[in-house]
Amino acid sequence: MTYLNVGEVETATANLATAYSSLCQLITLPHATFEGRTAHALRLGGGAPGSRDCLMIICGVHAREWGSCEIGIDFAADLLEAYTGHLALAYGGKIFTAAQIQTLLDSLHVIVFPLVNPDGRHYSQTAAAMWRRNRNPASSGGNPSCVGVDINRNYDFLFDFNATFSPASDVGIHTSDNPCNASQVYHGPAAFSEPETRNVKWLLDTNPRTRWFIDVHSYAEDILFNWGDDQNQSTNPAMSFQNAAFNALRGVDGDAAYKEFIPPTDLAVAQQLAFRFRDALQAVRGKTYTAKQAFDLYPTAGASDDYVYARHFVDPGKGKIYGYTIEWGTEFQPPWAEMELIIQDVSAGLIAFCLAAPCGGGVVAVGLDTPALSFHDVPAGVETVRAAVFSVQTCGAVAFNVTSGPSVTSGPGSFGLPLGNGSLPAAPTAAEREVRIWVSFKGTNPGDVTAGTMTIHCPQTGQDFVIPITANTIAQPKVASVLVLDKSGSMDDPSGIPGQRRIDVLHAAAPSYVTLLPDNDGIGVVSFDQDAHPVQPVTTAGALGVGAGRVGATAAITAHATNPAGSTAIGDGVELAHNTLQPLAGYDRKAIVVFTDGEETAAKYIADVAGLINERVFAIGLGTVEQVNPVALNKLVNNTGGYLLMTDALGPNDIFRLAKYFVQILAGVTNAEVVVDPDGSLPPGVEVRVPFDLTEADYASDPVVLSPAPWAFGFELETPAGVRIDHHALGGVLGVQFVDGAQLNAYRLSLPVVAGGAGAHAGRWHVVLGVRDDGWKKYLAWLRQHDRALGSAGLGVPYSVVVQARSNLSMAAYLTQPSYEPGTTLQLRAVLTEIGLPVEGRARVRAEVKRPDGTQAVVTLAETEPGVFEGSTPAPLTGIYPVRFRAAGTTLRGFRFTREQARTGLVWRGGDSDGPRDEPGNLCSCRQWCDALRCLLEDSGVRRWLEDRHLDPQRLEKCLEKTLCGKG
Amino acid sequence: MPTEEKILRILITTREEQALRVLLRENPLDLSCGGPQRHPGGAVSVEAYVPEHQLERLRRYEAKIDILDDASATARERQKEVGEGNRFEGEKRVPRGLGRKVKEDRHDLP
Repeated sequence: MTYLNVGEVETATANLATAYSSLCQLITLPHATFEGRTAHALRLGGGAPGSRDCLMIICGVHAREWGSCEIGIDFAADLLEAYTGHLALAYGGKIFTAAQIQTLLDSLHVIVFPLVNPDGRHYSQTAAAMWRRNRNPASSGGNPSCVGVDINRNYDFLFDFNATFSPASDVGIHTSDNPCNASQVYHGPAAFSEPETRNVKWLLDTNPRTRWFIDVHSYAEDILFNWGDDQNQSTNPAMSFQNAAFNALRGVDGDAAYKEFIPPTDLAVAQQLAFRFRDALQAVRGKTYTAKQAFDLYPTAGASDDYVYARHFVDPGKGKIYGYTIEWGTEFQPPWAEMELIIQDVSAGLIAFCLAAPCGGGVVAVGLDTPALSFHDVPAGVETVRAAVFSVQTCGAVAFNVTSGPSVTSGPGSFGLPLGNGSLPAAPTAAEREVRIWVSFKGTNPGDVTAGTMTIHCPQTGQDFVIPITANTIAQPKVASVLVLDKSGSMDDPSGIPGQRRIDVLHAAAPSYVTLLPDNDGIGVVSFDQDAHPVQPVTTAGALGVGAGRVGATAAITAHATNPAGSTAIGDGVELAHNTLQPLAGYDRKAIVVFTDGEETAAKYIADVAGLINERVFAIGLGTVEQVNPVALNKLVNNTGGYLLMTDALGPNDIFRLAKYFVQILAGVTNAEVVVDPDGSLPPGVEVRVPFDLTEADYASDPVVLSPAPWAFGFELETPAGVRIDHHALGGVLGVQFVDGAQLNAYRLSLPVVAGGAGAHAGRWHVVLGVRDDGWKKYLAWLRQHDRALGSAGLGVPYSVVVQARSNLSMAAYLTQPSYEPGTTLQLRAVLTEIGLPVEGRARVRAEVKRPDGTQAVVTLAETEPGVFEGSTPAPLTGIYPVRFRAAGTTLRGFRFTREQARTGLVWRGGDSDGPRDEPGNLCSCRQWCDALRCLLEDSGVRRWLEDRHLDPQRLEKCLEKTLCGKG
Repeated sequence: MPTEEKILRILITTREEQALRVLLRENPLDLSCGGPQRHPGGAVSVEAYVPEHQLERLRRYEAKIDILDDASATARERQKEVGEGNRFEGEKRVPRGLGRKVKEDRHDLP
């Protein structure tokens, strides 16, 4: 045998594919060379392309390094023959068992591209033996000496070496931008300018599971691993080839100005696999190759090994590929007899590499990705987590044990380990895995700074990782919200609740929002009919029951009166609320809460101002979808992260619905959680105990009783230990406040509370309600006074209990619809998190859906990913679908929790249409016509003109008021 | 790279790395892939393939130039070791590698 010529390489490659067709695929590369040759590669190993991890070997890049092709062909031939015959494979003193060969080709794909540069090889074998490049003359200017590009300088890695390397670097000795440079290292006019490099890139792109790449060259008796541009470092990820700030600093040996970042686990794996190649090769006949970093040879730019490894840094969507270069032998073209020995040397090394690669050469590589943990700006009372993240590459099981801490070294508070130690089981490959050890911190007092440390030990590597921890506490985020209240004429219409107009219902319900605001939040009020009217500027809510913001806003709601001739310009109201909030400083979040009972009838429309709104918008629609026609309102809330609740037509039993919606939206605005939300009626002499679960994740809670007659109740709380808390006797009780509102009573708990000499926090609490005798008498008198039917008193005093919590365990509920037309689907989604971590496998969530025809459905939401619960239900009927999400589960520490949230699905004909918009060319609104005609009728000349023609101006005015100027 | 002129394989050795760096920057050379070899005492050497006429210029530097081989002559010999025709064509001959394939019950394994 002698060296293969170019035609023989191609035929031998094709014949292997034919002879071993069940085990080997011929791949035709897409880019023909300058001289028109089409190259081929082989994919060894069964199974569909892409079904396994892949190791890619390319050969014959530099023309004169002839033996590289033979290494590729012989390596493939040996594997295929040994696998097919169930034979062992021996090279000198190195043997691979039949089982190893079977394992190799049963678990991996091995792509062998035996001749990347056929034009160059042909020229080298038939003309200039020392030719290195391809034969592309494009940059030669007609000079034969200037033909060709060095393929292994043409990859897209720091290609523009003049700009990206230091002038002091030797890279310019080994790479050139001059086609006529005698060193034969011209890198080409652009990265991937050459068909040969584009073929390699194509192979990589079409085999995305490639994890290892070996470029076979000669000569130096080395195996080189990443990187080639500068010395490796594993401490500063920012110092990398992607960072232009380090341009002009790269490529100088021994300096500190620049070293290329390689994660420590990658470095460990890269070295280990190189050692496995080296050791197997040495076992053949004793040759000692050196395994070293590519830069130790000399600095390179545009080389294949760095390009393949760089790909996943540049595009994290690409898989990581360890890049290697083999430099076989001690001359480019050794005598064939010596070349045969080298082929065996390298083949043994390659097989050992392939066997070791899936498990990273047996290495246990562990790297800490988070050398420090920082809890930045944690709100007081809020518990949150950060993770110490380890990258691990090994097939073995790995444990991470916290051997010390997390402990506080200075400042107040404490750090916790909510999930304990971390570990990974054994795995079939050493593909990179992550271990997270979670550390928790609960904000103490604003301005506090806390420092601490912990030590994590990995027994498999013996490493100890000491991780400093810092935290600072800030004040609870402050929220400013503005209530935008409808005062159009239709607010005087009956609400559906006997004896109550819509405005009465609003007067009763809206104060619940104000009463329960956190003390530091701001509250403002605007109203709107055909125009917007400022009512109360944003004012801090202040102390429970007496704060200026609460008192002012409650008074504003009480004084909120209908304009009988008013129409509905929601856009005006939203815009004024936005303009009120916009200049405010000192608030962390801002929200707008819209209340309306009818569709938009006047400009400005929501669509006219929607582009301005950058606050979260929540909305309550009083009425049916047909009455409110909330096309634009629904879009607005959805686009700003809020939601719309619709009451539907109210009935005698719906006295709490609007108030509950206000409380629900308050929870949405202030990021609170609704724990339970039951209601009923209570006769005198009966005590009802409403249970609710608080957890260690809750740091404040508001148990609330809504009732038209809250004063009729005795209202106590019972702690998990059975201690009663009565607001009439709060002496010795710490952390408890009570508010006596117009239509609600509420406790405000700052957890833990102290009652009965003991702390009370997580566990089952109870709201204890009883109607006192004097309260009952007062209630009956109140009914008479307000012309309410006494017959309804037979069931007792109506009440609704709502318990809210400010908590580190939260439920986000989402109701989305692909359409608002009948036949759509309600898509239901709930996300449960505790201290920012998914509540995984610890909860169940169901959604109770009430259909417009009065039937109900309960949809059990499936946990589709950790902490995410999803389901859907059809919505064939027109109308409102009230949906109540209910979650129940256990916290990290094993306490029961519940969460509830209301949403409404909306279905009506025309639901997918565009909302109204005031555009030039549109007909004027009724209101504008009304105003114009009124104005004309006020003019004495016009009146005379009408009278002269026997037209009665007063009669016309009445017609106007009954039609165009009628209430909105 | 003229194909007619004799190419020599040489070893360039300088007392210290900077001297070699200067030589190579001023004289782009076709180097072996082995890169510079560092020796005890700070000397450093590199193999290069250079046209014969370039030797005189290189000898002007403070460098030791050893001629290792007439690379052109060697290459001509090696080109004779390249296959002619196509040994895999026609009879669909399948290449075989150089590894020994052995049944595992045989005792001739090392």
